[in-house]
Amino acid sequence: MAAPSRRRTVLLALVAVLAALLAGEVWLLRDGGAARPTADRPVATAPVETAAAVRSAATSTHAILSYGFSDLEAQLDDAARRMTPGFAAGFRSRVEAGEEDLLAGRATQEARIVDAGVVRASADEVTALVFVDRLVAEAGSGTTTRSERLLVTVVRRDGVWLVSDIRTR
Amino acid sequence: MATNRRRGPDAVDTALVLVAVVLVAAVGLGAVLVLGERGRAEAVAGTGERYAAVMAAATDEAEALVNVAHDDPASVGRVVDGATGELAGRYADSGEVMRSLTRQRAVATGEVVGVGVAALGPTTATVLAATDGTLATRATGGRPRERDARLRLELVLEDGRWLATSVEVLD
Repeated sequence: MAAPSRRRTVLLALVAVLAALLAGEVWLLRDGGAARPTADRPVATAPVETAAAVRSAATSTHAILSYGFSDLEAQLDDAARRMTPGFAAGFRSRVEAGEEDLLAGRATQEARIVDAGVVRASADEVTALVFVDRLVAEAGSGTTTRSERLLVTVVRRDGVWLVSDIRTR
Repeated sequence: MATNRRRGPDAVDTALVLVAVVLVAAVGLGAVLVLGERGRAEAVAGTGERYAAVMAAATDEAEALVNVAHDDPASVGRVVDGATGELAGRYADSGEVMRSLTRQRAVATGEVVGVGVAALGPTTATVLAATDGTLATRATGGRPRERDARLRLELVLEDGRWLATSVEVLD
C-alpha cells in the first residue's frame, strides 16, 4: 500500500502537467509579452499608452522648467515629485547653483509646450521630442523667449510616469 | 470489503481530482488571456512598424527641406519626391518656393537631429522634426547663418508611401 496506485500516478502526472502549463502562461503574461523598442519598431506600446506617456512628459516638462526666484525651494520640491530621485538630485543642484542670479535678477521662467511626439517607447520607458518656448523674465530686462527642442525621457514607477532625463537637441 | 475500499477513490485521490479540475479551469482562462495578449502584441508590433515607416518618411522629407539651393533644382526635386498635394505643388518647378529661393539666392544645408510622432492615424500622421543647419541668402551676403529649426510635418499614406502634405516651421 505504500506505492501509489495507478490512478494516483495518473492524477499526479496530470496535476504536474497542468501546473507547468499554468506557470508557462503566467510567465508569458508577466514577462514574455513585454516588447522592447527596436529600430524597426521604435514604439512597442499601444497608441493609447504611448499618448498618455507623451502627455505626461510634456506636462511634467512644463512643471519642472517653470520656476522663479520666489519660494524656489517649494517649487523645486513640487517639481521633484515629477522626477526620478536621481534626476531630481541633479536638477536641484543645477538650479540651486544659479539661485543667486535668479534672486538678484528677480527672474522667472516659464516653459510653454508647443508640441510633443514620441521618439521611442516601451511599456516602462518613453522618450518624447518636446518643443518648448522658454520665456525668461528678469526685473528691468523684459522677457526673452528661447525656442528649444528637448528629448524628455519618462519611466513608469508604480504606475506613475516620472521624468528621468531631459536633454537639449 | 477491505479490497473494495482500496479500489475506490480515497481522500488524496479526490483532492487531486479537485486540484486538477481547478488547474484545468485556470489553464483554460490563462489560454484565453495569453491569446488575447498575443493579439494585442501583434497589433502593437504592426503599429510599431507604422511608427518606424512614418518616422523614416518624415526624416527624409525634413532632410530634403533643409537641403535646398536656388542653383540646384535636384534638391527641390527631392522635396517633391517625398511630398504630395499642396506641399508638392509649392516645391514643383513652377511653384512659389522655387521662385522665392531663386529671388533670395538661398542655399540651405542641414540635418535632422530628432523626430517624434505627435499623432498617428490609419492614413494620416503628424511628425515633429528638429533640424540643425545653416541658411545663406542674399540678405546674409551669401554667408551661411546658423539655423536650427523645429518643423511640424503632416503626412498621408498614399499607395503604401507616407508623403508630406504640409510643413510648418515652429519658430
